[in-house]
Amino acid sequence: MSGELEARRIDWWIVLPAVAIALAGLAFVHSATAGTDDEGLARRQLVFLAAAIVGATCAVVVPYARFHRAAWGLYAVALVALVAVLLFGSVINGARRWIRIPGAGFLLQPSEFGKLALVLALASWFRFRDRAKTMDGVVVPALVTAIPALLVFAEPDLGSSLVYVPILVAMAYVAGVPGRSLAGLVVAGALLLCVAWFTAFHDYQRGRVEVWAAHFGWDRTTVLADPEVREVLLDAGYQPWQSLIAIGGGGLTGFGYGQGPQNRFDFLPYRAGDYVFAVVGEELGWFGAMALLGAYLALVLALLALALRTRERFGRLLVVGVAVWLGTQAFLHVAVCAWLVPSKGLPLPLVSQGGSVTLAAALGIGLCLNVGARREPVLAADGFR
Amino acid sequence: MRAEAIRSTLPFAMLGCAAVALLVRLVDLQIVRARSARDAIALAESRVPASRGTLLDRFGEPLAWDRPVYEVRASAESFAGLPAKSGAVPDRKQLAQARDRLVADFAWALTRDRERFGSAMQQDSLRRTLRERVERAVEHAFAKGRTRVDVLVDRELDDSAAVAALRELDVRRAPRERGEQRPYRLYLTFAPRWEREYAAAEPLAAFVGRVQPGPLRLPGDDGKLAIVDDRFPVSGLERLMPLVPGESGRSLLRTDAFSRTYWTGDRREPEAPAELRTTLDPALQIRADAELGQAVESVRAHYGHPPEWGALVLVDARTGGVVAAASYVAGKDGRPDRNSAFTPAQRVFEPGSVVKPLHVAMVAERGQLDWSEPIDVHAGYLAGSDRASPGQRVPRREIRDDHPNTVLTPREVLIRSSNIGAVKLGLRLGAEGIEDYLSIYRFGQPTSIGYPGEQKGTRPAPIPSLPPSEQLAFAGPSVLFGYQIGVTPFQLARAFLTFVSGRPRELHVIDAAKQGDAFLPVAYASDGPSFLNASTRADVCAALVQVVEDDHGTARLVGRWLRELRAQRGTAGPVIAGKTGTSQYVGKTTRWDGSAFHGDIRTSTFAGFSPVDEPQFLVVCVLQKAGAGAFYGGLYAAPAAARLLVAALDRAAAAWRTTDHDRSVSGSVAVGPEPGGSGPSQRR
Repeated sequence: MSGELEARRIDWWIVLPAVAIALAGLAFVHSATAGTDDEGLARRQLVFLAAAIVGATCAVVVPYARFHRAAWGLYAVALVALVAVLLFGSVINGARRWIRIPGAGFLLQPSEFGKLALVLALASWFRFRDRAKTMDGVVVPALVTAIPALLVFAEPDLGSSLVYVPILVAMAYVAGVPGRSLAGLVVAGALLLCVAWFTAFHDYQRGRVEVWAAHFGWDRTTVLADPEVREVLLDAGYQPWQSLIAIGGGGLTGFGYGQGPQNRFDFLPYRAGDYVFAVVGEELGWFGAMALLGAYLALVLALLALALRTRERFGRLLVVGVAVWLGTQAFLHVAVCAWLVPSKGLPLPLVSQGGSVTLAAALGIGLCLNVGARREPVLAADGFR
Repeated sequence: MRAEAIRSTLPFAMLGCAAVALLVRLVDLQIVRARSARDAIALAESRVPASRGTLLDRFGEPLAWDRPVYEVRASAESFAGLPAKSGAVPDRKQLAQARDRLVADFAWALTRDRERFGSAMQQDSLRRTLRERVERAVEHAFAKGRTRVDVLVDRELDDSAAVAALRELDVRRAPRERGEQRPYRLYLTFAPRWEREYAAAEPLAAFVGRVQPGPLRLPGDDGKLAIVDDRFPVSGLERLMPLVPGESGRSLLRTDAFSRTYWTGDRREPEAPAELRTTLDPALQIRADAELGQAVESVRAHYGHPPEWGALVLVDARTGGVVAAASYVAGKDGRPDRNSAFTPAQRVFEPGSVVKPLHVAMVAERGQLDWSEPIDVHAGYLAGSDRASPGQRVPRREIRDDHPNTVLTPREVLIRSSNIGAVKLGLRLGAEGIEDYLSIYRFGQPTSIGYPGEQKGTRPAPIPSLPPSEQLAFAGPSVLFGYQIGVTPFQLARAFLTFVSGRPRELHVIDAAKQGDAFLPVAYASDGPSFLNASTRADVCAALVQVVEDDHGTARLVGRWLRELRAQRGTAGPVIAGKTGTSQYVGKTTRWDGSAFHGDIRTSTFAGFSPVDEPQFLVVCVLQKAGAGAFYGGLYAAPAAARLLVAALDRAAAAWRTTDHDRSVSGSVAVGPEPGGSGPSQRR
């Protein structure tokens, strides 16, 4: 039923940018943590990358039809983990996003694996073309997405929960969900967001949005002279303002690797994780930022090409889901660093320090390679329904 | 199938649009507004001061140099509870709370690095000091109703330590994590500056000088302290450093939302000024200090208390470079007062008999002297004439010798240091000749060293312009045995340098300035014309050797030691030529124990050189003592000088592999007189 793995069909146009991004990530995690109390994180990231390579290899070797069969099981496991994190998770910086793995010495972030599980579940659901055109085809995937997204939102992790939505919309659209249904879905989502703004959003989350909206009107030459603005920059605007200083100060060519003052003198918070792109922009300047974004673009385009080549629906939807997930998360991360969107904590896949995000991204890419490296399997499709 | 492809492509197209949005944003941030972004967060172009430069010894090893550090200032403001207007009553409870937390924060952050302080005791001590300092500052600010307190955190913090301290004082994160709110806000400012470092040897300190930290503040007309000079107070040779200033650097400083200031990579390092190479030999300087100390101890052993001051100067006779210059001033406890005057340049004394060979040489050079002629030096010689003019009778002056003599040859006049003989010989020069003597040896003129605070010295008015009685009975005879002229030890050394060279010469300490990779010699005023030929100089030097070697010589104590030394070594040398001097005057001074003294003040002097034929080193030793009886130059000054001279000869033979001449390259540094002084100044 499933195709044989053919090594020559491994898509190196996916592998190469992914490896380049991962190596850049390793270098900038080192730059961001060198000389600080977190200096060991770069070595730790190296271990995570090794684990990610192993995981990705497994994801390539195992026939992806098995992932199809296990999709709902994995989704269920992810939901259990997301519930567990709310009940038993460790609180760091006021958020309950991690589960301590006893004896392993590291924390697991289920929301990152939840994205992969969602992609698998949605691909499994949408693999029947007709299903996409029914009411179930819209409502069920919306619920399948909303449940983990709301659990992640409750952690609270607004940034990660927002990534779930584009995955749903993109996969539903590619699966053939009518535009009207999708528009309704988007409107419903927007209404839900409005309700959440008044009922579920924390004060600090609303504060971030308000500061973000206000900062476009600031005159940078006089902003620091305004005591009210300074007060804001001490609080909700601190991180994005420091990030803007880092990126803007980097200019065209940057300060040089390890020389960025915002990085070196500890003005930029969470720079190994949620603001790692600001370090890249500060130290390598516009050219370096473009190179990293170019690598991501290359990865996403390679995944697009693979999706277009793949006729089997589950495989195609899987690749689309992974590409949208990685692309959206990368976009949001950079947009947060550039204060193009309100600040929120979102790691840059394969670059930011963190085992969960690295492993989840590598597994996703491994599954995509799996899809491309096999003769397309014959899965139960429309004709069998 | 085509429709599916379009559907598959659309999400990617949207991602592409997002990428374009990012691209536009990054172009805006990093290219279009990059400069304004930097400008907006840059405080200003901050001047990074140039270093003072480096003083080197004669071997090129540093004596004084600058080390880059950061001065860190902390400011606290926005005290909760502090009234907006001065004079209003503050909430004392809140203020006390603010003060306690501020003090604790400062003290904790600045002393948390135990490695820096060596021990927990040092750390605790500094913490207490800092607490007290901050408490005072805060109390003062509160009393004045100010909303801001500035405290000097540290004068010298390296950048990593500064950043670490800053991190610890992060008001945004740490307090909130601890659930606390600070009633004030802390800011830190970093200012690049230089910390002056010195070679460790204490004997070098007085000569090399020191740069004292902090601007000079003096009371103004209103009685308040005001900065009158923002240059650092300096002393010693350090005062010569600004003659070769470096270029200031600049640095773009930034501030973040907390007004924390830091420097960017956009920085031009200051250009270091030229390094100045001195003629000092640290080893001989230490030895000079030790020998002077030994001379002081010998005086203390004999009299029960030390001399009031002393100096020991060693000069390279071939170049005029000062190799060592030790200074001693008795402190109130009888120990050396290291913070007092630098005696070789700043104490003036009447040299006494030590100057006799200087004018005797001129008499011999003019052919007015036969080395074998008998000179009547019976006691009771009256200098001057009965009548200055018809009908005008002027008093004559009796010249006396310390030890009665009868008839002496000119050589014996020098050996036994007869005042009568010296005056009789010297008066042969006439008024013009005596004036030449004063001019050639440059009495009453500061040296070219340019040492800060160097005394000018004294001399009588031009001898020919004086009334006849002054010429013949008072000023004229006095200067011939070392009275009515005042010299510093440096100036006496210059006079002897002139004598051994046969032409007027100058002393110097700075001999070369490094420009690029090369040392360019500093050019001083050229030597004057020759006034002594070699044979005359040899005749006088032979007499000066006898001053030391003859059993009747005034420096016979040194001669005895030298003979023992030569016997020990089995060599013909060293041989020293020299002259002692013992002058006295009745005057006031402050004694070693701080008590005022009015009475007989004696100065014991010795000037010598070696080798005799072609002197390599020249030494001058001076000790001054109040209330001393037979305080002879041969007893106290000469032994110390001789020991230093022999040590210098030994060291030169062993360690001076190069000379001042061959270490310089071609070309020279243009110099001219410093405004208001005669020291070297470099034109750039």
